[in-house]
Amino acid sequence: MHLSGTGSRPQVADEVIAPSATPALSVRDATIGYGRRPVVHHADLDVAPGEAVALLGANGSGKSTLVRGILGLADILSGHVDVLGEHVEHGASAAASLVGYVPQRHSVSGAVPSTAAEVVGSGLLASRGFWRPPRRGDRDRVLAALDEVGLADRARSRVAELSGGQQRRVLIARAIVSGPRLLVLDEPTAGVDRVSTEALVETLRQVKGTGRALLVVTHDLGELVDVPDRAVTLQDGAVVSDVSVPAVDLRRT
Amino acid sequence: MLALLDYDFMRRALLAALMVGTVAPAVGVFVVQRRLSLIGDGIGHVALAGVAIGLLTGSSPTWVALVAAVLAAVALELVRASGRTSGDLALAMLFYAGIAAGVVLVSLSPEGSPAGLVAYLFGSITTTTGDDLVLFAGLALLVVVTVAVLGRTLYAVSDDEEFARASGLPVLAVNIVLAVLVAATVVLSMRVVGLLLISALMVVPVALAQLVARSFAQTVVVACATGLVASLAGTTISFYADTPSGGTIVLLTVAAFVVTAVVRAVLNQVRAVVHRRRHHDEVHGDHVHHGEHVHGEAGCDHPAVVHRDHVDYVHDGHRHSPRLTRHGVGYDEH
Repeated sequence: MHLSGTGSRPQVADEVIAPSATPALSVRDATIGYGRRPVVHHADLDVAPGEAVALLGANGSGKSTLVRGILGLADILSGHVDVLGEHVEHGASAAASLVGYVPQRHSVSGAVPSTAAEVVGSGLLASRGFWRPPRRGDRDRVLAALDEVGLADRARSRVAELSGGQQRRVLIARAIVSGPRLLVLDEPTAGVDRVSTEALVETLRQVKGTGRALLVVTHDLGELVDVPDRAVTLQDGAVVSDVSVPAVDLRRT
Repeated sequence: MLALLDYDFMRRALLAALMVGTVAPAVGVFVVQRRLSLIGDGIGHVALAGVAIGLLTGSSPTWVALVAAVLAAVALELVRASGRTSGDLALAMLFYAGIAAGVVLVSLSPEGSPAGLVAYLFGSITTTTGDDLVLFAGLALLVVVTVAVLGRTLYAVSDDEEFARASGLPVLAVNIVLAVLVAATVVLSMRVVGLLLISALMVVPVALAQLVARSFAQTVVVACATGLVASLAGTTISFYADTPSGGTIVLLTVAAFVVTAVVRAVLNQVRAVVHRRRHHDEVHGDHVHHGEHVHGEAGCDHPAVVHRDHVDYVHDGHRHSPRLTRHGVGYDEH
């Protein structure tokens, strides 16, 4: 809402995005926290277009706060955070169509039944203008997003009837339906069994293959197999390592 | 049946019931999704204080109740948004202050009587005035239009506040809108259903609908239809049986819920037995042909469960365990 620039036209979910020179994410010397209390100190983090970065760290290391800073949900106390060249400030909805967010949730099913298509449709509201009536193309975009995560045939299924891994993929579809170029995933594999994790990783591979940049918060780098290009580790609110991941070695683990 | 339409008060009560029955579940579905099923109760408590102030000052109890309910609703959302742990206690104080003030002030007012209080708390078909009906129609229209325009947004925010906030939706504003809708529903419902039972009409039809609906949209339709039928039937019964309309309507709704739950449980049992027989034939008659895939292969989404020395796959609520057969892999039922 407080963003300058106009580079936020939503795109069709399965469109391959042309590479651009602007970094997908650039965090420079950023101190992020809540109110005056800093949690992340002087962090640097870059994600290039089409690149996948794993964000590692123990509980309390500041991973969530860094992610919330990127999403405009925490205070950036000093330094700066840019998403696709747009400045992020607390309360500014940078994420609206620039960043797709997949929150960590143990269960997608709420108290009231909803279908996969209904959940994914929520992802269109902010970029479309939530007060506007639905457009004719909305349904196609929802189906395209579900298709991209391999759930085209489950659009009308109750999310409560889907497996844990499928529910996560519905949340990924909700995040990509507005056509963002950066996807932030918070512990996508947590609580998902091995077999479903494989399908989930395949989905991440495909999402990355369309040219989107990924920032994946995780406890277990091995579970993401060959998806991450780099791994950044946070400890006590500071970036302590930033290394490229040799994909071949990881496949064996 | 048509005899009851000869009475002016019954025509008004039935019109009010028609609006209440449809509108309350349409708001309730978002309230239930947000896991705030009791919010209507709290706002109803405060509305009683508004009624009492109206009676004491000689102004319209319905209008003053509306003002009190809206103020309470906005306060509630602001306290929740502040995220303070004392917020829960502050709201409890507000609600109890509301109902206590209501009871004391009603008893002090010239028209105040225990019977009058019971009518406000539990609903009475004889109390809806012509002026009330005009206000109720306005409130019902407000709720229906808001839900029609903002329904998807209300759903998104109620379903996943964190995602809604990250994607740039005005979460606080949307939550305040929902709270005001609850306040409007409380006031709209207070004549027919009563301030202590409004929450039931918002919540119980939704509880019934989520047993049978497959989508959120279906839930809304089934809940509103249930509320509508129960309100009209309950109001009619209360005319003949001389019972408080609110209690009668809510008892009918709860009965409908129980019947639906029992029928559903029986149907599920029958379905499970049929399913098990079919699978039994597949495994023992043919030794393979389990669906179209082998569990554990890519694309299989049946959760794996380690079971003693092997891995089971959860399938429609029960487990399959793999077993080698002449033709490949078969699955035993657990």
